[in-house]
Amino acid sequence: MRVPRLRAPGLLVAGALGLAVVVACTAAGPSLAGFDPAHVATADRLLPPGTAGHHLGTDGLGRDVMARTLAGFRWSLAVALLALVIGGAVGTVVGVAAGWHEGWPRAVLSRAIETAIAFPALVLALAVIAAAGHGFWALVLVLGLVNWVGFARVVLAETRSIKRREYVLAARLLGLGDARVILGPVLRALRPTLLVVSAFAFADLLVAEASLSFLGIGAPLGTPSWGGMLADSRQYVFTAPWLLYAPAAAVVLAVLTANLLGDGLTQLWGGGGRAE
Amino acid sequence: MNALVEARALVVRFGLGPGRRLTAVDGVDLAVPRHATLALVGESGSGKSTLGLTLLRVHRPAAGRVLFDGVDITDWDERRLRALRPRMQMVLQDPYASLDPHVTVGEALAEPLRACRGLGRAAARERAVELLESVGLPGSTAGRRPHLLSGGQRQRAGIARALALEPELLIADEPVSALDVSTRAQVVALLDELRRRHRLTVLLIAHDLALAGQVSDRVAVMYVGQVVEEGPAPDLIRLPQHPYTVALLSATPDPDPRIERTRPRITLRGEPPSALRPPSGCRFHPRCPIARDVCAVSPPPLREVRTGHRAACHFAGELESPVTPTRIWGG
Repeated sequence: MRVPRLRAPGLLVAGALGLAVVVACTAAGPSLAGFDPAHVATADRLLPPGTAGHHLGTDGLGRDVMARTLAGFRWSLAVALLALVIGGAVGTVVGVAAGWHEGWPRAVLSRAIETAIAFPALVLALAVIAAAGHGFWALVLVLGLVNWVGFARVVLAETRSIKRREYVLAARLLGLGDARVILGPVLRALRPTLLVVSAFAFADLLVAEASLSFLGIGAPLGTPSWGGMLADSRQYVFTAPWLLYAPAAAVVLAVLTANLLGDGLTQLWGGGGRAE
Repeated sequence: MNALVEARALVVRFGLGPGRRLTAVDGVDLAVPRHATLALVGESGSGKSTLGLTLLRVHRPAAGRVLFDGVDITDWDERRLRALRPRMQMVLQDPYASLDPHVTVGEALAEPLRACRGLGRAAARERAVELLESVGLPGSTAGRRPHLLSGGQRQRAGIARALALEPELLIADEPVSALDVSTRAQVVALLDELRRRHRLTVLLIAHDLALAGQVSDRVAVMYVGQVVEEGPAPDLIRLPQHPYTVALLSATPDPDPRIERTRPRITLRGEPPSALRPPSGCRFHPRCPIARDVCAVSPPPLREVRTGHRAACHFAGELESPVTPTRIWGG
């Protein structure tokens, strides 16, 4: 069967719709559900959706699933966004440095990037969390550390090609220093690439956060996170399957949105190099 | 001679991988006299752009010296060169690639003014508009992105940018070859006018010898990394001493069909040789119509044949001009 190929505007429209829903859910937060996500009510445990005002039911401790899923938006997006900023900044700095300086700095940084790519991310995550402890910032740090490599690799390749462009040569001939050329024409030319890489990296970060929380080394116990909710739902899969649906749908929505935006921008810019 | 920029026995090599090196410029002696225009002419791949970029010390020569205003800048590092760069500017070949597509023309011009002249945002913007007007563009061009401009307009903007820092030396690398024939003459005339107005020293890199001869004081002809002939423009065009120069002149058609039909010419056979494996002896000998045995063995030195007119041919000056060159347009 042939799937009709979506063109850039279609992808972008779908992505924008998804983004609107994600932003609305994040802004509204758990108050939309009418329950405190942390409120435990053992009498009301495992209520099916629609009972006693719980639109999506309650979990094994009687907590409102809708409130917890909505709270999960804030947690996941905050973690992923901060990790994206950290990873993006580190990766861009390393990538530009390696792409700009020929000779040994490039050789050393390229090897460093390759080593980081080869290093198993989960082992790194376990090591950092074992050392730094559980919590929001530890998680952000871990994900940032895993994330910078993707940026560095793409930015390195892109910077090498940008450096050969005539308008970059023109800027150097005008007597502008390296810093000015990099912060000016080079960074401007990198913008579309960075945006596309960010969209895909964001999707990866959401999945990574959910995975770590699912394994119990992400969000601290009790924090409403999608991965944690999915982990909790396992023991009730046959008796209370609704515990699974809401957090899974939220992960799918957020990840799909980021990927749609990334794909749309890629096609719009023909691979992400040109802005015109 | 009072030269603003000078190459002495200049050699420029590029590594193409392990053991493979390309000698793009091979032992060039060339001086651009102050306030004069020197045209550097040759086929693509002859090393003329590389020579231009090496005179600006974008490339570092493998041997030889580069002198700017009498000072040896061969070994200067980028930090020292940066202070010198405003005095030496370049108009790049491709106006479609040499302007940053992400900013307006005004911002592109304001950037060096703010960085190198310390102008404020408003003053730089004002100066950018003046510069655009001085190259015949409306001041409103400052607010436009390059993709809204035509090739000729872009090249004018590129010239305005090169003049922003009031340089003494302007190297124009094939400034019109990417343009429509109809706009070429205008851009050439603009360069000539600006040269006079700002008392610039110009190195004009071109492949059209006839056009270059008209707008320059001196002409140097390059072939496979070497200067084969150099002299005063009218002299070189009227009495070319090197068969390669004659061949280049033959390539220009004469507007008079009677002359065009009967004029003698040298038509070059084959491609220019690769600079990776230049021919022995005189590099031109495999394509030369007057080559003899000696040419395949011994490389002819660049020697003075007439006053201020040098040629690298064993038979320069001995022969009557081997072929009468064509009359030059307007010349």
